[in-house]
Amino acid sequence: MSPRKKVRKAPRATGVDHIRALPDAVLHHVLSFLPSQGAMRTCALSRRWRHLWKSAVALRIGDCGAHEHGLGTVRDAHGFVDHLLLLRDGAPLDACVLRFVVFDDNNTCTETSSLNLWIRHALLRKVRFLHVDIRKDGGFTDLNIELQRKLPSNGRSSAISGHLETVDIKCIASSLHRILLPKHGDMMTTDASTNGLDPNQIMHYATYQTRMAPKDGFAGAMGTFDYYDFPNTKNGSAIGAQIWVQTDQTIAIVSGWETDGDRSTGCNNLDCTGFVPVNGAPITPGDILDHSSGQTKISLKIFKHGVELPYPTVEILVLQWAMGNGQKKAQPLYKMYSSLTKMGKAIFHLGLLVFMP
Amino acid sequence: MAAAEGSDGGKMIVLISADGQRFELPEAAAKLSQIVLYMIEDGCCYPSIPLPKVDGVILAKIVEYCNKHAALSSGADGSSDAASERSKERELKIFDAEFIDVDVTTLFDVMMAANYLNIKGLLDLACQRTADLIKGKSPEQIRQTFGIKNDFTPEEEAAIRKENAWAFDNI
Repeated sequence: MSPRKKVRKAPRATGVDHIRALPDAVLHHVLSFLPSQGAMRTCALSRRWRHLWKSAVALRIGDCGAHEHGLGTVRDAHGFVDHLLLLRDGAPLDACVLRFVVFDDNNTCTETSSLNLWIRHALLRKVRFLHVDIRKDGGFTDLNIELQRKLPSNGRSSAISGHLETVDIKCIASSLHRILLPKHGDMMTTDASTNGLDPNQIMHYATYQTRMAPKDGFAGAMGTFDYYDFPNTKNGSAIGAQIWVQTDQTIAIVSGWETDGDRSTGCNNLDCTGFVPVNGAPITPGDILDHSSGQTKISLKIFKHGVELPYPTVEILVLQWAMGNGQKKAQPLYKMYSSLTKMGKAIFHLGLLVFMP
Repeated sequence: MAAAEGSDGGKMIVLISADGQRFELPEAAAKLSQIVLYMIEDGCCYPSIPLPKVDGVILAKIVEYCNKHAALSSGADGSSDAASERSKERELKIFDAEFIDVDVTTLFDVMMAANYLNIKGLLDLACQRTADLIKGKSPEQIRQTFGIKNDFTPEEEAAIRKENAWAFDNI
């Protein structure tokens, strides 16, 4: 490396409005690192600053850095956030950070709908980084955080937002965040910090979960899983897809390529009572779809077999199994016989999992 | 061709500040600036790249930043194990903190130059530092810190505070 010229720092005039020389875009960037309230306060600095906050490219509500004691409730922040969102201009958002404590269970519904409204605003503004952090002391808060509302016009799900790059959602002692998909389903993802895994390990986890069952119950659920080749898969990594049923009590079936390791209840392997693999099944749980031979797509179906039976059967099928030669097979994978009388009220989960140690 | 080979065999790039000072740095470091990167890609970097909007004092700082970050960016020395990655990250963090601990005038000049040269990491660093200086201060304290002249009449300022009362409440 060549020697750099040593330059003596010349003393400079102070007290001059040097900040005036900075372009608005840079000041918007500066304001985006501030909690939104602090950014808004700069409106009182001077004429130049009066409207700058409206173009800050981040929403930071309750974002007090490492200090958790600064977290307020959604209700307390309501007036401020609405004021902020109504007055800010249409600049696209880079980041949206929402951090709250939820105190009042009676108000959860209102608070949830406010949160969802703010998240929708952020998504409309093409937010790239979304961080939602909801704390609650003890108890279980069922916060449904919707990341997209999509009309089921074409019956297909789509990505949350074409612009969203990072979603980081932490709900302590609460259920997870969900992405609303058509019909009765919610998409949800979680990260390692919510399920007690080693935080040094990265776990991406996304599931599609049905909402409350309709009056006459569900007949079944089906999901299609795509499998893509991951070039950087290391030893110990796992990529899995699963489908399971969860009743309002303790019964759960887990199947697919990966068991639902963090659950203490339910049927996590082939050893549980009533579990009968179908003869001649093209694949069995634990099998690996071989990308190189074109086995990249699989549809699983799980449904109630004959409601009149005293012990309804849950049958899990491979409906479409794309073969290397383009041939598709529809073949039962395995059946489960059990006393799942509450099947109609069950919640179905279809999940994908990527685990990188 | 004036572009020299560096000691490690990599290409060296020469940047010239507004006041005519020359700074030679490895191509990998120079490329941290999006603008310089484009110039290198377009082949208009020989014998040197003039940067008429950046003066020597600030360009020296920018070059220091780019050299450090390029040298410590992943894979620069061929090692890629997690422990060394983490220690490099720590080192960069400490470097950044000391690097940006400057007077307000220098901070703004660095921010301006980082914006002009399009060095994202440095712009973020300088903007974060400025935001930290704003955090927790009253409007009057912020004006003092940055030398901002209050050109509102008292009536106007009162009206603006009233208009954005939510900003001044504790939530």
